[in-house]
Amino acid sequence: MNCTIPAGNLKVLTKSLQTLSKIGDELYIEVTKESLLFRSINANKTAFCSFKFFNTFFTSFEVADIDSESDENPKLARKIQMKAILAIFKPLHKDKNLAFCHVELQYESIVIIFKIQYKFDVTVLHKVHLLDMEFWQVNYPNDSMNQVTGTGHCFSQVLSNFQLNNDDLGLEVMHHKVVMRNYDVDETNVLKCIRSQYVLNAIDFVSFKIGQPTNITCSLKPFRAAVQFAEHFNLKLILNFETAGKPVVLIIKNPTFEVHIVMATVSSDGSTQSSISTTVSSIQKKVMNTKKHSDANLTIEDRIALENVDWNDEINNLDEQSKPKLKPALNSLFNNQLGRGHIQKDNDIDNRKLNMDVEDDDIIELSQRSKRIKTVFERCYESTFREENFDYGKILVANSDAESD
Amino acid sequence: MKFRGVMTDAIAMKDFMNVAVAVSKLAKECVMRITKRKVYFIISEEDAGPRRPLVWCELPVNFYFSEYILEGVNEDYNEIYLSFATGMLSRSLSTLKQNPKSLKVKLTNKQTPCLTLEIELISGEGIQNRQCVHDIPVETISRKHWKDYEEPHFNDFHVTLQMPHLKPIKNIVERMKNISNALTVSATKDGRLTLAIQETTVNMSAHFPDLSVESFAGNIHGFTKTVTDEDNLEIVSATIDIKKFLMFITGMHINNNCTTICSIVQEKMVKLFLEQPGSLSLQCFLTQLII
Repeated sequence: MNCTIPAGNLKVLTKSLQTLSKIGDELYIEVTKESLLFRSINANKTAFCSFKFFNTFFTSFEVADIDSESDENPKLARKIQMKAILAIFKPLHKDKNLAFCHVELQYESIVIIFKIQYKFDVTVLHKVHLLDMEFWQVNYPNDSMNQVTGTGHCFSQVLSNFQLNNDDLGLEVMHHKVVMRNYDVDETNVLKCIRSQYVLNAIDFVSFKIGQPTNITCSLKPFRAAVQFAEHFNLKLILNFETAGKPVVLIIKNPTFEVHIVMATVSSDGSTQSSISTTVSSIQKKVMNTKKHSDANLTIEDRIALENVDWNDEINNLDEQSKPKLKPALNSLFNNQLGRGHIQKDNDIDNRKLNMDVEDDDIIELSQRSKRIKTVFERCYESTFREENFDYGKILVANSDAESD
Repeated sequence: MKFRGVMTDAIAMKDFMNVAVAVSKLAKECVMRITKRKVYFIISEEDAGPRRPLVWCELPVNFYFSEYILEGVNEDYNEIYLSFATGMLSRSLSTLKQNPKSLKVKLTNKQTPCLTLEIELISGEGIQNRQCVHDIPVETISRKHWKDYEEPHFNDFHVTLQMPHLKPIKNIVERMKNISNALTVSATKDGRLTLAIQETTVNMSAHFPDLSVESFAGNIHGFTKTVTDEDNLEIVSATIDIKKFLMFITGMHINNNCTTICSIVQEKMVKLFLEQPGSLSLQCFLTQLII
């Protein structure tokens, strides 16, 4: 393969390499008849990024012998170190004397050659050794029932409200709006960090098609990388997703190239509860209220999801028996809200205010008590704690009855 | 306990953000004292022993909040003291950079006590506004510890004079910091402020003459000395930690309308007082460095 990239497009290439480097440490280069593909995948295989440069991106694009695919060389796909290629292209970012860059990759070769041509007949030649390559295939749907399109600038504004050290982003998508959160609303172990929530209306997006409202949690880092790229070139970002557990596909399109970023989502099951419940006690109260008619409200999907849930991994500090009951109740609570749209949501905010008024007096007492409990019985609140693995020795007195409300 | 304040004025929101950013540069942790008329940010000295305030910042409620509800512990002590990480507040408030419509600050109980910032943003195209909520975990300070955060009163300064522009001072002191860690601040009766460092190899001093002197009590310690030391009567000086001084100077890019006043107690302390009339006052107490 021989191709020439004009100076103007080198900026795109550099930026795309920076985006790829935020996802994986190795770059997979694949040549097809009409395009050059740059791909990377992260270490735990939860995020995948693919840049497809069409032949219009290049001033010349020659692929030899691609028709004669033999068994030995099914396709021209190679792997190199990301650091090596970044070191070549990063310094070019602000160089004004660039003319073009020539890339050469042959079947039998053990190196890929980057020849950078400057003005005044200066040529710099880089040879990067290829690494051993294992083949993998990433299959993802290109079209899904939920599709949200927004400008890079819009997404960038939203993401600027989340902290750089946040790992996950929760998206609660409704028919007319999106709620983004950096925390799990069901999480009872509150960390010492900012919890943020951002509400965007459908009108803020270029297009907003929601087939089925859902709640997904994905990794923030690749998302941020994609948004930065889209914002830099003033492009639109298309978000394709279905439900929790199914991948999110981010697509950025341009006439000369196309970017696909695939991110895994956390298969959240019961964690779809809204932020109305401000304290553990109020969650329990609500559960009590909804418990009676909880089964009636379950949809088929919920039932399937519930069957697949490993309850042991869920809420650690609630006692063993109440778990299976609690979870369906929470799920159904969420369904109620979805059905009634954002009017219900407003009521929830009022509920929260009400809760506030009632419980304000207990703030100090409650926080100090729960803090003390967590420091004394720290081990019990860790996620790896399993009661059955724990040897109590001789039990002198049986557990007392739980406090009833 | 209940606290809820709403800001709608763009200038007030911007100033509030700037104050939060300035406070975050001065310390990692701070105490927010909420009273009927004023909101305070208090930063204590980090070293052990009795807590002494390092920075005392006052914000008048009527300038910032258009709606303000406060219910303290009880009617006699109608105040709330909260402690939190300054960085969290400044980072959360950075949302205000995007065309805000209103900011609601309130104390909520979401598993832990939280200072909740509800920011309504005007979105570019839409009629409906965007909403951003940040919860900052805080700790409430019980009444028995309130006395640690009492307002410091110092009146008997030997000299008080107006400071020149902070920017040139910052440039000079930044370079002095590379050489020494102790800065001697001295002022004379005729309004000359001198910032000096002394090392075995180099003595360096920057002079700012003709500043307006607000009060001058003279060097009391000087009176005990012989008459030949007449010059000493005219100079008041104190040696302080250069890092803390620089921290104050760099943190204070609040507004150009501010006036800064420097007060010195001979060999005891330097007080820097920054004021933006009607909206902000900030005091920084820098005590004599014990060598």
